[in-house]
Amino acid sequence: MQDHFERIIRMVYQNWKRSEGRNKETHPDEETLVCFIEGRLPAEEAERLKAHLVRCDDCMEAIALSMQAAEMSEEEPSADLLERVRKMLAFELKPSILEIVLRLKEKASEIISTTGDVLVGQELVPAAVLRSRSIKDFKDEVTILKDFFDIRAEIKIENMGANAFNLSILVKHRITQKVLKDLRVALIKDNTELESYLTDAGVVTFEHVLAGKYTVEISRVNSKLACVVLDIRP
Amino acid sequence: MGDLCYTLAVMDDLEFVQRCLSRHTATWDEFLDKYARLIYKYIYSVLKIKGSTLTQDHVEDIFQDILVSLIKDDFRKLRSFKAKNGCTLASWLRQVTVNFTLSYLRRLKSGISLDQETEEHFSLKDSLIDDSPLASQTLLDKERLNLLRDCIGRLSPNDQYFLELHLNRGFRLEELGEFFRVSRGAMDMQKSRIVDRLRDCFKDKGFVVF
Repeated sequence: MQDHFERIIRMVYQNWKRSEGRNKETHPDEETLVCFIEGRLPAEEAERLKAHLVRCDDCMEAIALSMQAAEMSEEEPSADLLERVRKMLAFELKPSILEIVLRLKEKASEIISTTGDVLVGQELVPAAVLRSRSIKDFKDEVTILKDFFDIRAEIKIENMGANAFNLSILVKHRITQKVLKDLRVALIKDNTELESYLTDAGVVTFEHVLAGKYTVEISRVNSKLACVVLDIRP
Repeated sequence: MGDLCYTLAVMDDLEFVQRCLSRHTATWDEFLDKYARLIYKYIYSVLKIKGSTLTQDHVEDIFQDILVSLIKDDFRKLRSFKAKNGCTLASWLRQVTVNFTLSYLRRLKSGISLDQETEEHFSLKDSLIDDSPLASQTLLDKERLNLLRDCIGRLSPNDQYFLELHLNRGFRLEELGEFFRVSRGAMDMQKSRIVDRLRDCFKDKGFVVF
């Protein structure tokens, strides 16, 4: 009798769930789900979450699996897999470097070498291709781009004459191409920080910098995102 | 004393995450020493529960993808760990792993049955006596269900959640008692209260369960 009525309740419940449709609310984050499972969510929030869960199969499944999955498996990652992962992380975590060696001429800038791509008209050209096309000199300014782990840096060097240049750095998200704000960009010479700015509109400009060897560091709180090594020769 | 230790552990977790953001490989070696096994075991657990027959290559892909997901976009995922309400890093990583593995399975889709929705070949008409003279001859099963579902909508989110776990997901009352850290007796009482409430509501709608 009880089982019989339970089956009816289940049918009615499933019908009700279908009628409620798919939940369009924002899904709770992992911390919220964990605290809910561990009974550490404030009562009001837990009640709201329950209302979400009965209408959201994705979140409900994640909760149900967490409840079931505790300490079930005995499998261990192999030493080989761990070693591969260590190497992969070491590679991913390393901020790569953009090198630019450039000579300031009287009315132009000559690219001697770079590990970035150079903007020629609307086209991005690697340095090797630039050499094969015998393109060396750029009038007024030269723009060099490089993709780092998750950002794209655009470096614009403007020849101001008298062995000085203006350096502009624009930082975008590598995939979305959205301009990134609130990054710190520092100009460093011989391990001494000369100037640094927080990007406001995603761009920082250092004006009237004299020719020489510099490092530009682009960073966010606690993490270095990119490093540009500049060798600007008179 | 226990609470204090717990709070210190959570603070250690936050401090450790801050160190991870510095990109030092030594810190990430420590991260792997502490959490690689946990992540790996939970991937396997989820796959076992889902009855998945993914190959070792898939498992290793999921494992590596989870670690990369923590650091990509300037550690966006890892930065989202705030130890809210005392959530530990280990518990958070467990949930990240469960969610990620589920998403991976959903992406694969083919050959994996994720929808465990049971098809009930069971006639509601056979189980309910409709004592409403007007409705008795005309209502179809679907319409009856539509009428009765209002009774579910009237339950509290807590009771609906109980039905979801127990009747829809098939968790036994003993298991639920363990999850909620309450006695089996308390679970029996909650179930009985919900069943009585629904029986009354069904009756109000003109249906009597025999």
